[in-house]
Amino acid sequence: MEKAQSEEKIKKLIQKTGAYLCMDCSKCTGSCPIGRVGATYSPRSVVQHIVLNGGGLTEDHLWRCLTCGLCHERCPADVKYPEFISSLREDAIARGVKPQATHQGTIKELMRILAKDDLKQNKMGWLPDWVEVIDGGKSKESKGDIYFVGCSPYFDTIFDDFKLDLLGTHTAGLELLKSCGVTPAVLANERCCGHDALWSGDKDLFLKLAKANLEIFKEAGAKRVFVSCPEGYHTFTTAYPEHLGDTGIEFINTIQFLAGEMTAGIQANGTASVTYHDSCRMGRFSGLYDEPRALLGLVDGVELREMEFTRESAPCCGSNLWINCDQISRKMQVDMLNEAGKTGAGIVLTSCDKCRIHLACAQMEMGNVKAKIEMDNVLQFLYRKAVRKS
Amino acid sequence: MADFEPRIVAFACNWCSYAGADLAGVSRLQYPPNIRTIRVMCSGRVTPGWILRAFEHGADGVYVSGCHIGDCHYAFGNKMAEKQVALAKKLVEQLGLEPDRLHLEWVSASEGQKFADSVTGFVERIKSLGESPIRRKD
Ligand code: SF4
Ligand code: SF4
Ligand code: SF4
Ligand code: SF4
Ligand code: FES
Repeated sequence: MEKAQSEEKIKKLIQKTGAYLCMDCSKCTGSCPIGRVGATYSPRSVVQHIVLNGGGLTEDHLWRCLTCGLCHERCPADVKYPEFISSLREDAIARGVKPQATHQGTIKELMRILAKDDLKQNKMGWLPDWVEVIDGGKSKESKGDIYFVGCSPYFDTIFDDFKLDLLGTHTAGLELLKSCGVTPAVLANERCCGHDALWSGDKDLFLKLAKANLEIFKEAGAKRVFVSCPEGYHTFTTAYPEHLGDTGIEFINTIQFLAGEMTAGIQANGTASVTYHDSCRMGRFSGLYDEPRALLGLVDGVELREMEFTRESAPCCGSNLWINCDQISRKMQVDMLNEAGKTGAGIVLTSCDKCRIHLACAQMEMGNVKAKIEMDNVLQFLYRKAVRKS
Repeated sequence: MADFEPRIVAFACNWCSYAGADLAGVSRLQYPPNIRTIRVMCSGRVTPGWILRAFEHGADGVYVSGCHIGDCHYAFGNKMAEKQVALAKKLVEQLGLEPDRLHLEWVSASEGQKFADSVTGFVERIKSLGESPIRRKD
């Protein structure tokens, strides 16, 4: 019975992700960054295997993929491999197979606790004074504008050693929004968006988190929710409506919004040459390639030096979903940092602070990275290094 | 809440605290039965992930014990434990639980009385804090 159900599900996912259209060209395998640095990972053969046999993957097949989307980008038949593999994960989890959690499960357990009903979080102590924190009830001042912080306060604790100032990204986001006349409130009890749960196949956990978030957004009377985390933004704009129907809320990417609102002539404190890393959720998944570049272009004295592989072809930061971090991940991170170094820029900027965590982790292994390069988040860089001309 | 019996997970190092707990037992020292002891090879092995997992599964308190500083069988395991527990405490607090629900204690193999006393004290403390807000409704 269970087997029949599983077979039925797999048939459906082959349909849904277009896997039956695969023409065995292997462009995906040739593009996959995991294969490039040495692992024998072949999305083509996984697709072929499932379409022909309907199951029987090894754990390596199941969990190794980073869902970075480069294969899908290049696939001539539009096979949605990241969705394909995460549906297979969902099926595997239903059978009791589990991924290996990194950081001894700290982050996984955190997400599970964040899905609990009676939670009274205490994570917003660092906010600028002007920001209203809503803890139950409606917003008094923000007119339905909400800013979503996400897991950064927890990551800031866990990765304290890396000294990344992950909260500074949100301070910057909020202050820059304010400079454009938007003063959103934050929600004391917002949950993790559920991105990692979803893509690692834990659909139940994703749904719990998503429902809790929507309830909290609605209770606060949210009309527009500003999101700086690219994973959160993509999850709210695509996965929430897909799984829970129309949310009735406008989710806005902070960088995209600022790029539309701010005007040229922002003065920088000195000059800087920077390079920009397109994270997968910002770029390939949300199509936001031009916006961060446009925003950087508004600042006088900032020179953008592009890496060889950018935009649709940008490499992945090597680790995703807090599962499967190993030597392959490390190799990808080191390669990426070296690519950034080759541009001659002094700073590599990213819009995804999770990328920044993984890349900083690689940098901590001294000697590994030939090119020493600073790292920053686009929003923080803009806020700290550049002052608006009044 | 008068009859609230806390559920407490206690991680005890094999080389010291676990033996200390044994000593408390064979010496017939009294301490409340609220702890579920998990033996680990060193307090340094207890990660924030395990501590959160205990809370996620409905623990009202988590007690971590290891060898006194300087006595760790693996030299610096208990130094790691100090760091890991401090990190976990911060997470627990951010999650909105009282940080006092997590406790680290050094207990040697000869300190049966200390083990019994500190567990008794911890159980009292958790009793006064009440049920964990994220305890599973079952
Ligand atoms: S790129 Fe697309 S069509 Fe080609 S093998 Fe991969 S999944 Fe199949
Ligand atoms: S999503 Fe990325 S990691 Fe996964 S198979 Fe495709 S290219 Fe490889
Ligand atoms: S997308 Fe990631 S970082 Fe952002 S809120 Fe969700 S889990 Fe946290
Ligand atoms: S690269 Fe990322 S997932 Fe891997 S160990 Fe470092 S921080 Fe953890
Ligand atoms: S061996 Fe007891 S704390 Fe390390």
